[in-house]
Amino acid sequence: MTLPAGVQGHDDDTVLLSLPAQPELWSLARMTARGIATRLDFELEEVEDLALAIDELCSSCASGFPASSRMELSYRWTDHTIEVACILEPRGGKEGAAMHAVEPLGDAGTPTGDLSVDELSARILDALVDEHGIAPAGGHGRSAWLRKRGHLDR
Amino acid sequence: MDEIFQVTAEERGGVPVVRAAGEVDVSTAPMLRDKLLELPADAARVIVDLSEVTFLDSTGLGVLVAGQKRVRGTAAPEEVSGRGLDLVVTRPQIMKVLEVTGLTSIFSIYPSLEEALSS
Repeated sequence: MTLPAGVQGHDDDTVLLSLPAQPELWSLARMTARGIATRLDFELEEVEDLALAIDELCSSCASGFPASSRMELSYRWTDHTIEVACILEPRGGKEGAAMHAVEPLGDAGTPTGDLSVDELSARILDALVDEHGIAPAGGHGRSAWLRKRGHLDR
Repeated sequence: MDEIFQVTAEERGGVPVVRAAGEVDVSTAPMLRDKLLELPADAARVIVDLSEVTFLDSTGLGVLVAGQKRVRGTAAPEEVSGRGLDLVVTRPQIMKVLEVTGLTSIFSIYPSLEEALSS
């Protein structure tokens, strides 16, 4: 798997997870993140922050693609930093339902303004990880990545 | 993996109360949305008890925001007071998600269902 720029690591400090882009399976991605972060002595709050960030990463990576697509996640770590990359490979063409269609949540001028799930997701990632990004990937897919440092690396 | 989420609704003192438990994510948020849509459309106040929710992502937040908008409906600004979807939140991680997204400003949030009902 080719990782987006900015994501580096060593093969012996890497876990790869390949799964269908089905939302009900994203708990596996969260579970994997929790396991690795716990091994790196992340604090409980940091572990849960990472799990939520991974969920948002999967969501932003898969948004708009058929659920029959494939997601490849790589978890790489150093002593107290985790980098996670998600690459979505489109599969299934138009017969698959579009993933995570986001309905508008409100009209301008209401108490909720024009806040969308995408905006909420971006706010969560901004707040909970040190760096994150998203970009087109080969084969009309998409890649997204994040980096989170534990308290021992600050 | 659906067993990780449950949602129920009841009426307490004339107020619809929706209780969610487990993880609210992109796969389970529609269950919460559907439960909110089952409530009377003219309910002036709804309480969503999130005290047993262990995980809440942006999709779940979106459902709550949409629910808030539905309950407040077309009420004029001077009529909004007392109307709305209120939350019960006990877990720090759930409160943190509401804080970092700036949503604490659009919900009344209580530390227990009893306090929410008595307010």
